[in-house]
Amino acid sequence: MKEIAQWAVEAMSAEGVDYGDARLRRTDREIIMTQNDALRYVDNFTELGIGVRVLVKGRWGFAATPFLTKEDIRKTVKKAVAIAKAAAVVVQEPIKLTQDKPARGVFKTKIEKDPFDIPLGEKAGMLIAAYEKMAARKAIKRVSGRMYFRRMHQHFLSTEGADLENLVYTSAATYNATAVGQGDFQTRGLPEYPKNAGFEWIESLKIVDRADEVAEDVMKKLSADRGPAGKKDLILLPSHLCLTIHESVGHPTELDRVLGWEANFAGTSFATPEKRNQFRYGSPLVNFTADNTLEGGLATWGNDDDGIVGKRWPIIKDGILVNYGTTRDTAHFIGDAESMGCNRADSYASQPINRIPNLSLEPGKEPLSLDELIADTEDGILIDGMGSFSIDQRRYNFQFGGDMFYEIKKGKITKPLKDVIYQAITPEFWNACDAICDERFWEPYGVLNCGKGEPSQTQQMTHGSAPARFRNIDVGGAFNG
Amino acid sequence: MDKKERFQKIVEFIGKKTEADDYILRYENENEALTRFADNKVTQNIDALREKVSLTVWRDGKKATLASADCSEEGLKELVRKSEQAAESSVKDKEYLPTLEDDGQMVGLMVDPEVLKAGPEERAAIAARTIEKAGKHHVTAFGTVFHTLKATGLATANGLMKYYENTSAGYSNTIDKNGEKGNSFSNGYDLASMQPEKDFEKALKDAELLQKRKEFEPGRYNVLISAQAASKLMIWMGFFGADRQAVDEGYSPYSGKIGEKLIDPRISIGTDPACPSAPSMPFDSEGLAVPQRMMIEKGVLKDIPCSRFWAEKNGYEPWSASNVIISDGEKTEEELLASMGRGFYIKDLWYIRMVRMEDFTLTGMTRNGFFYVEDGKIVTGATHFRWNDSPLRMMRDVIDIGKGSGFVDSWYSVFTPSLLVKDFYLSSKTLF
Repeated sequence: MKEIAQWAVEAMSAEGVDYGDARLRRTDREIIMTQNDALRYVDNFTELGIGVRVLVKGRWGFAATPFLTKEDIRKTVKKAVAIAKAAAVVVQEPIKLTQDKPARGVFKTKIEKDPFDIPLGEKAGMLIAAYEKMAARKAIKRVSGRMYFRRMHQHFLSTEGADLENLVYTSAATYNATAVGQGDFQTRGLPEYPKNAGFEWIESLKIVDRADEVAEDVMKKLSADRGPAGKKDLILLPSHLCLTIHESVGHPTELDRVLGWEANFAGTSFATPEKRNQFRYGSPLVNFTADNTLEGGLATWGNDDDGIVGKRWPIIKDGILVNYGTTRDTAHFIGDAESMGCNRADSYASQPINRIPNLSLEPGKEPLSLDELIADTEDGILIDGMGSFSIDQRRYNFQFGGDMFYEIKKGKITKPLKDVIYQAITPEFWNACDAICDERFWEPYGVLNCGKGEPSQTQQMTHGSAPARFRNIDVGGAFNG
Repeated sequence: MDKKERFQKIVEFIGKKTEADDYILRYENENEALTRFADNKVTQNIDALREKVSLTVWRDGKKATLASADCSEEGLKELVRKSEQAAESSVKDKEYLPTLEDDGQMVGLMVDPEVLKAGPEERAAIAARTIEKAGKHHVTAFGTVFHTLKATGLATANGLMKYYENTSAGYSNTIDKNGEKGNSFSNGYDLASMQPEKDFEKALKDAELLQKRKEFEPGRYNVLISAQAASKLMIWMGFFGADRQAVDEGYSPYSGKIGEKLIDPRISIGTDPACPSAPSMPFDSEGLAVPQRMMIEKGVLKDIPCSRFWAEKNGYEPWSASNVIISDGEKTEEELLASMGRGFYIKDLWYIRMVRMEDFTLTGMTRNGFFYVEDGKIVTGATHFRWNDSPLRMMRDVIDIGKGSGFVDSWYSVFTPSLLVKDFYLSSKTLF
């Protein structure tokens, strides 16, 4: 396979481009969806193609093809060069790249069982078995199951001499139960816990064994009181914080947004460069670390699609904004000599764009368990799992739901709740963080469906955390008009 | 070889090779070309070709789907072998119905030859003009120019074979003046739908009107939602709860409401793949023809899309929707604005998500053009709000309905009017 990418690099060099890279990528992706005991949807897709990106006189050109003869590659390179040259009519500041040292190497996700070797019936059977454990409860009308597997094998070669190969696996499984009754319907899911791992990860999640727990939760939700309105202390579990981190810290610190490159679609960011090393993003307890070397991390690919080998770096240190997720064509705008390696494409046919790395909230430094945190909370709500989510175009005002909610009164969980929605302003929220459980409780949840870019691309990344408490957060305003 | 011929050859080849009891073959070929500009420079410039054959097969009542981008004879042979092998190791398909036979549907293509002629030079020229104008006006431009050709084919073991090709062309821009942004976009199946000059002027005008915006308090306000903003809201009517099984089993906002008056009788909502300004796929993923059909007629919930499985089980007629078409009125947005008392004019919405399915409560933000109105006139730009409200509630309490516009989204096409809505809930402020 590598030879094909080499043809592209040779053709780019022959065209005299200022810079060029070729990504020859094969992606196998399997999605299995069940509804109750029926296999509703299954798609096992293999895609193989090459994307070539050239920089000619400060203009990008990108072309991609699934046709891989030497002639097809030559034509695709010529097309990319023609596209870049066509953009010469635009009078603009040229695109520049940081001068990172070209890397060489091989990266493979550590796996024990290749999910693509597991029979479809065994995988779908696990989701159906989970439904069958819940089926006796008549109020549960629908159990929607989903498994997702991806195997991505890529050769990245550049005209600068980069030569990188990676083989990356991702595995995920979840299901949602919907119960109907009492003039209402409610849903509860098994929190999705995706990981760059093999099928052994799915087996370790014990998804069939946990079906009773999910069924009991959805029944509790159906008869639960609706969430209150007012100020409450929130204890957010890692399965929930994952998405809050993603939206309120991950996206605002993508440098392309900060520079305005997403202003026409995904939005910009309040975390502008003059705030670097000065802005108090959160309380002194709040430390966020980007880590594209995290084992099992969804953005742990060995290297990004600029050819930058995975790095670990702080984004927020003791509550202060200190850095961003950067790429070779953005990092120099903030005076950095090197990219942090956040340029990724979702397909051979997509031009890579600035994406969130694995980005996690560090655990608390003092010993603190979840039970101790609950015992220390007078009037609060505990939230598990992901629900509704929305945030403004500069990443200030956000509103989140969740999947399971419990009222906390005088240090004890008193009852389940439903329809809890909280709303906050990003820096106020992270400054309201007054306790984070210790490393024993840290869990790396993740996001598989991060949408960004025009044309839209989907990407994945991990956001770990330990349970954390946030004081005096507005809840219930969504329904209180 | 043209794409249709290529599809037909694939169908013929797979028909000969497969030993499946039944199958559906789906073919997709997409050429997507886009120039993206930001901060007055081109930041992305792509031309990508994707091709895919997907094969769903049944063996002994068990189902599997495999898809491949390798459409060579060897690739297709491998696809057949692997999909049959996967089906044998699968589970019984408890919802199996024989695949569809030829229904005689005449599928019209939505292809504008002018889109096919447009290349990187044309896209670059449009971007260059925008950036040049931005320079003259001392503003910053961000946006995209795109041209797409997509082919979709579907064939079954039982003799159905359908093929559809459509082009799309679009332009969008956001114009920033002193940190205030206006946005406008135009798109459709044909090149003439793109109106970059008008979009630039509209976005620039909004950015200028937004200078020195004022802050307002959250609450319920009458609002005029532009057709452009409404398209982002009403797309959700196509996704949530519009499934007969969900309605019958009680987990849809439409449950127990068929035959009831749901919204204002001036509004009808349905699907029509042939709508010229918001065309969509004329057949669904099983090959069933998408009809022109109403879901809500003159305010009354008449019917809900229904899968073949659920229709067979319950004696319904199966049907699918592939776009959202909402009936419109006669008034321009300017006329609706002039008829407003106090309220807000919303020209863009952002990050819309479901909050509570039971009553279709959605949340989102106002974005870009957002203006405070008194006595039918824009008084000032306004700082943005989060909102929480239900489009069903909004259409029940609609004050007036404007002329409609069509928008071709990558997810779905929508034709929607502008709406003058009573008591829209602007629930919290943000910091800008």
